This record gives sequence, structure tokens and C-alpha cells, in this order.
Amino acid sequence: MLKGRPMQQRRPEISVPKHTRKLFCPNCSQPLLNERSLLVKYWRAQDTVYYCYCSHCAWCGEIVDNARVVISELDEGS
Amino acid sequence: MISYEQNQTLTQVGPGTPMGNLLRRYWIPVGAEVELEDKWTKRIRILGEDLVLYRDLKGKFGLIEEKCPHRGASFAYGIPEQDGIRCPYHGWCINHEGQCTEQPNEPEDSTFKNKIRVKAYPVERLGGMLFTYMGPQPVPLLPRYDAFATEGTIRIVGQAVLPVNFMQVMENSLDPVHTEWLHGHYHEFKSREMGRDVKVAFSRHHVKTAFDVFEYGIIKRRLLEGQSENVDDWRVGHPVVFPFTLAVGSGGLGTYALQMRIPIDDTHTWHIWYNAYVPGEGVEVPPALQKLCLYDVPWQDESGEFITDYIDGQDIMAWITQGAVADRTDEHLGTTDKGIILLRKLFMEQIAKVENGEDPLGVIRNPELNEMIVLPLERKKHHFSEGFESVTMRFQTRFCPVVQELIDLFSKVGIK
Repeated sequence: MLKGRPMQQRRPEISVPKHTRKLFCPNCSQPLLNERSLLVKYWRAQDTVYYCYCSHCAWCGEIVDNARVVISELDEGS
Repeated sequence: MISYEQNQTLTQVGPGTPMGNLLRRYWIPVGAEVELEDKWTKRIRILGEDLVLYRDLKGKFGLIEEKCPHRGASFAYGIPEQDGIRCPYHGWCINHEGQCTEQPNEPEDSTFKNKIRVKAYPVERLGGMLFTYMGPQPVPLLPRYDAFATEGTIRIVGQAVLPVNFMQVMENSLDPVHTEWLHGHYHEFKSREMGRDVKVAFSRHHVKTAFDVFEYGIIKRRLLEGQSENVDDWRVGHPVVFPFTLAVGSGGLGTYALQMRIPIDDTHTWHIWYNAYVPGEGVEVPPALQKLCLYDVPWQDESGEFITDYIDGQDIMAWITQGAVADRTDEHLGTTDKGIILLRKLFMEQIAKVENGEDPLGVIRNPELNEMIVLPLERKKHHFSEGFESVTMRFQTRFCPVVQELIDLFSKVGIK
């Protein structure tokens, strides 16, 4: 029998879904892939959107991978 | 697309799991009163627990774990007693609190019975149904939703055991657009295949959908092509009552329709369709409609194929073909899936509330708020605009043994 410290069961790494970024909460910086948070990847036309709920600080909101950035300029004088 | 671990959190319902702990904070249907009129027990499985629902000799309902703590025989074959149930094997008696009260063959002065306790849950009646609460003390109030609490209604209840996790059934209820396709275009296609060229109201195109969290869940709204924003479908909508019920409005009738999705375990759901119809004033209700009618809803034909020529059968086909537990690590959600995303977030938030020692959404402890909970429900639902008989025969209600009596009563303007 082996002596010494009992074998610790190693916690498996949190899985990262295919093509999903490892994102962190913009509010508290905790990882959003933990089992009590929510990181839902969905698509809005060409944009990839991550709907986030952070179980650590309860922040929720979206992080968007923009395919193209379009910014409307204000009219002159406005 | 979510992670494997987050999918597990949302779909595992057994004892000690985050979702299991959340669901145990709510009253859960376990049967209809009529089921225990001619028999004393009913074996059930709820949230991964094997249990026996029983009626004792005083008429009180109880719910205990199925296996006798002595040597494991089933209480489903138990003997009803004045205050509890007795194991058929050696006569051990268990009361409604789960305490063993008699061990007939142990020495008379033995206190062994005091050490024996099994899981037992309270049972309450409402609207012809039996409900249990499997969570920690103090027990909250059994919500008196209008569909259950309205007196004098005609009640018909369909049921089916589906080999599917409850979460994808609930997600279907936050997905208004599927009605346009599954119950609209697909229904029309199936009808053409069967030689009937029909156009149904369900196939009208969605212009927009919206979702609002309210005190009992999420209100779902839809605006269809050609509708103004004053229509009931958009202005009122109908709610998903957290955590496992969908309440649907009507086509201008005094009717209530609840779809309840009770998790049996991680891969099975007991689906209940609870329909209650309010008779018009002075209308004489025929004997066949005076007692709650419980019936089975078939969803497979003789060859094992799905029956998809009725609305609920179409839903069932979609849910089950997603897999016993939908693989959400490999899905591709778009903007019309925002209701589904909101539901997932709401579940995660409520799991966190329970873990922080708070009551989750919709748990009621104030009796004044519970006299009658009137849910927001559209009363002129576009999908039901084709009339009572047409709609009733296109839903699972077609399988109700007294459906013709119901239609006849309505045709005489017998429903308010």
C-alpha cells in the first residue's frame, strides 16, 4: 500500500465549448465558464455575441465580437 | 452554445444538485385526486426520487419514499392505516411525517421504531390535483393560480411521460417563433400529405417578440404580421410560470390551460396539460363533465413513429429528437432565441438565490397574496381564432374521452 498523503481526486478542467472564447466578467474579472455562471454564445448576423451572467457578482450583459465596426458620425452643428 | 458544465447545472435535478435544490423550493404536482379514488397508492418518481403517494383511512394523502427502511419492500403495495401506511412485508407502519410508529413483531418494550425514519413530504389538494413540497422548512404556501383556484370549472387533464429532460421542454415555451413553423407551416405540410389543404392561423409571420420578467416568471409577447400593438398577443401575452409551467390564453373564452413539465429525473419528464373551462352562468354542466377527467396523451404510433398531426405531438417530436438531454455545447442560437437565453439566466440567478438562503422567484408566503393569483393571459389569442372546436381537435385535448361533450357544451354557448 502506498504511504503518505491520500490521492487527491483531481477536479477536471472546466470545458470550453467549441469555438468559444474564455471570457471573464467585465465587472469583477471572474471566469464566466464556471458551472454557476452563464456564457451563452449566439449570433447576430455577422457578429458573435456572448450573453453573460456572472455568478460571482451577478453582472449580466453582452460581449460582442464585431465582424465590422460601423459608427455613425453626428451631423454637423448637432 | 454553453459549456458542458453549465448544461449540467441547468439539467440535473437529483437531490443535492443546484437545479434539484432550486426545484425543491416549489410545490410540485404528483397526481390527480381521481387517481386515488379506486386505489390507495400510486408509485411515482419525482426529481430522481422514487416515492409512493397514498391515501390513508382518514382520507389524508401522504407521500413517502418507496422502499421500506426494514428490508426494502415497496410501500406501493402497502396497507393504509388511520395515520399513515403499513409495509405489506412485515407490517412496519410509517406516519405522514415519515416516522416509524409500529414494528409489530419486535418486543413490546422495544424503542427501535423511534430510530426509524424515512423521507416523507406533505401533500395538499387544489383544483383536483395533488401537490407536494420536497424542500426545506418552513414550507411555503401552495400557489392558488386562477386555473386551479377558480371554482366550478370543467377540468380535463392530459398526461404523458416523455423521455426527455424538462429544460428543453421549458425552453420551447420561450421560443415563440417555433409556433409559426412547427404548428403552422409544418402542420400545413402534414395536412397536405394527408390530403387536406388547410391554412392555419399559427403560420402567420412573427414581426417581433418580447419577454418581461414578472413576479411569477416571464411574460411572453408576440406581434404577428398585420397586427397592431393593441392586440392581446402583444399587449397582454401569456406567462411562463417559473419554474416548470406554461400558462396559455384563449380565443376569447373563459378557459385556462396550464402545461406543467415535472422532472421525473434527468432524462424523463411528466407532462401535464391542465385545462379548466368556466361554465357560463346558469349553464347546466352534463354529468360527463362534472368530474375531473384524467387521460393519457399518446405521442407514438404502433411503429414507434411520432404522431405529428396535432400541435402537442409536434412539440413532443421536437423535444425528444433533440436528445434525452439536449447538447447545448453544439447549438447555434440566433436573435430569435433571446427568450431561451433569458430563461437560462433566470434559472442561474434563482439557483444563486437559493444558495444565498433566499426564496427564489414566485415562492409565496403571504396568505393575502395567495387568495387567488390571476395570471396575465391574452383572451383573444390569434392562434385560437379558428374557433373552439377546430382548436380543441388540433391540440392534445382531442384525446380526452369527453371532448365531444365539451365541444357540444361550447357550441351552445355554455362556456363563459
